[in-house]
Amino acid sequence: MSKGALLERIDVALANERLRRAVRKATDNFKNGKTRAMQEYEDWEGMRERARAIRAHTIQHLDYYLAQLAAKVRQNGGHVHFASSAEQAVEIVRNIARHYGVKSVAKSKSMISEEIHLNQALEADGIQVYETDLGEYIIQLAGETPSHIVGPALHKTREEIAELFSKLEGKPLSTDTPTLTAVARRQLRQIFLTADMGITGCNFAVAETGSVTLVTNEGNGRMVTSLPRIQVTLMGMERIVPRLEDLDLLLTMLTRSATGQKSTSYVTVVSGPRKPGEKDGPEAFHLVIVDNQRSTLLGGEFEEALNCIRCGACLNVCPVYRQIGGHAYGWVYSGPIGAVLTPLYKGIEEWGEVALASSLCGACYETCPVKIPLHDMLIGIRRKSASAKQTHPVERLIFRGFGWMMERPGLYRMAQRAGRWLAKPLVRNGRFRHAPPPLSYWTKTRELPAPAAKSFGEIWQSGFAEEKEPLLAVAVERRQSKGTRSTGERGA
Amino acid sequence: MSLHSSHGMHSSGDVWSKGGVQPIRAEQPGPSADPFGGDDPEAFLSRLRQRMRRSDPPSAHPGSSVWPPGHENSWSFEQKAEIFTKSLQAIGGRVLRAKHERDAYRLIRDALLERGVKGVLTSGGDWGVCRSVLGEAGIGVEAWDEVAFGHGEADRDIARADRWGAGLAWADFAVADTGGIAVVSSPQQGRSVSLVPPIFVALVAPEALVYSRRTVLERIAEAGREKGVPSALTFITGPSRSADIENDLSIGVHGPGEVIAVLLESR
Repeated sequence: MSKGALLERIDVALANERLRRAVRKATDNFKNGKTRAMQEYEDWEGMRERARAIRAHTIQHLDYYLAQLAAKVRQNGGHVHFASSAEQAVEIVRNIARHYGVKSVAKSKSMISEEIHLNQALEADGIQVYETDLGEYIIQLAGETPSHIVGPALHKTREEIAELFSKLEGKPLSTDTPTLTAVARRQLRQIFLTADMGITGCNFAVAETGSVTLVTNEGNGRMVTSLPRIQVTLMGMERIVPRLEDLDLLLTMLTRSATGQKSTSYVTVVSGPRKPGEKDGPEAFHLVIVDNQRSTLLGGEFEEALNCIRCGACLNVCPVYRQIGGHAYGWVYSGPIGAVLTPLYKGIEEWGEVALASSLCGACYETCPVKIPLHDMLIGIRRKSASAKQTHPVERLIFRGFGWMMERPGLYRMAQRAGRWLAKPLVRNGRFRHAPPPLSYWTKTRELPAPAAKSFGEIWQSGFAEEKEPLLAVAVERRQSKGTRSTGERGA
Repeated sequence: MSLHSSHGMHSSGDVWSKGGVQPIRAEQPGPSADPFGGDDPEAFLSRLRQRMRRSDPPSAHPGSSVWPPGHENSWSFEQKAEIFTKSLQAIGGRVLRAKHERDAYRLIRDALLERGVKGVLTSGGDWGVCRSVLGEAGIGVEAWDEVAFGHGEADRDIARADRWGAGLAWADFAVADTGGIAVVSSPQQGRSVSLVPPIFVALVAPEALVYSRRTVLERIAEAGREKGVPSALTFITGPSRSADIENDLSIGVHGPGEVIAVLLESR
């Protein structure tokens, strides 16, 4: 991954009008669903706070709860494996597959398996791997990666999907949803019935009972945990709640924030393999608990990023995500949470620039069901990036010059006057639109208001301070109270 | 390769009543090398501990209920039945009301006839009345525990599941608030019954109808403290759905495309 690749990926995304339309439509649907859902609760804010508190408590006692989970899974007759790295997690799953002589795998959606590139490794061992979430199935056929946590294929048009499915069926198909869904149902049904091993992700593990919880709308999560004889569940080590009843609140926050639903069609809580006398469900159950850089966040300023429940709400409200979609972020997690996790998990040096894919407007924090201060974290990552000199040399030069000038008031005022004069030929209708390089970096995508005829400093100096001070104070006060009120309204 | 299934267990106890979290070890000391290549659990967890910000004393579980205490008892059966009906209908499910069991099977028979269903897969147990009522209309009834299931190619009846147009089971719980049906795995209650056929019909006994999902989870956890939790607990809330093709809703992708709940006034 070369530096500056972010801008290249953004250019590609911005040039794809079809992609941008699809992303806008899908994120609007998700976002409107959530907005309607929140209105059904008298105390959504209170629920957010409660969910935040549970997540924070769990992460603060993560070692305790993981130990309890492991003990309980074993008590239920399952196996538990701990993986420090992506490579180790892949190795464990390969060993499990080899141990049971697995030839084919049916997978339900798992972001962690994307994170560790599991499919490629299993395929290299000669194992057939099938994604069974409809969206994941589509992008697997297309050889792509998910572009949204909840809607992995939301960037694909029905024409593209029909083309993929037509190839599969060996005959041209129409592009209507029922036809395409029927093809997927038929194809994947065969896979569910014949796969030796099911691989799932994990929305929430439950420490107290040794369970893993899967949330799906299609039912593929149920298929994968009911029909194959082996079940392997991969979980990022932070995806855990203390008690079974905690699921109620956290599932509500997850599904309400993801799509607006009170519940997904299916919530499956699996606790180990089938019990004696049961005729379906896996004969063996393996849980793989994966660290893969997560522990580096513990105890630090970014610890709260581990509270994320992967609802995707921050993607749907992000003005940047809505323009560029998920692939521009360059790794498996996109949107504001991706802009935070990617540099932290993959290294700030290479990936710090992803934190720039944000306007710092704070909409992500406002919508987050567990109140992760994502915008603060984005600034934190930018700060780390800047102090590690990861920023552009020209940018550093400009800021150094700006700092130098700010320390010299006389020179600053002179430059201000000069700037106003120099800007004159570039201003049209009171806006500053086209500037020569290097300022064109800015004006290519944004415009500025023209410099005011008199700067604030000049107005102040010309006696405003003495005469108008009380008036100014009133105006400031009024603005402040207005600001507070409107924030309150948005939050409610 | 030997599988390590004999590691020592710890009684979890009720750590919360002591107002905090007590230390617990993942493993008893001893050989704990993972034959599948995983880390030693204790080494893995102690790495986390080195980084963690420990609160001293450990903080107590902050609580997670959004329901007022005793909320479950503040609803009459009729109120719950009404709310359940609204909730399930809102997401595309269907609710029928029956006086008693025989009445329920008559309603189910009519609904299945309308849909051209010829065979039904039921969960285990006594389905004698069902057999006779559905049999009058020529609908075949096969019980889960009488069907050969397994992972062998030959005895895999599930692969021929097309002969069952519907799955029929008693709900372990029905959740009024969400319109969900909860099924708990057991030798009687197969996972496939509510999953594989294209229609799922749930019989809901009056005592199975509760208001909130939280109540179900509390009861399962409570029972689990003595005899362990079930291998699978599933909430089925409406038909299978997907929006993965251009955000366009489609029904019945993998799970049943139709969910019918029959609320009984008495058993």
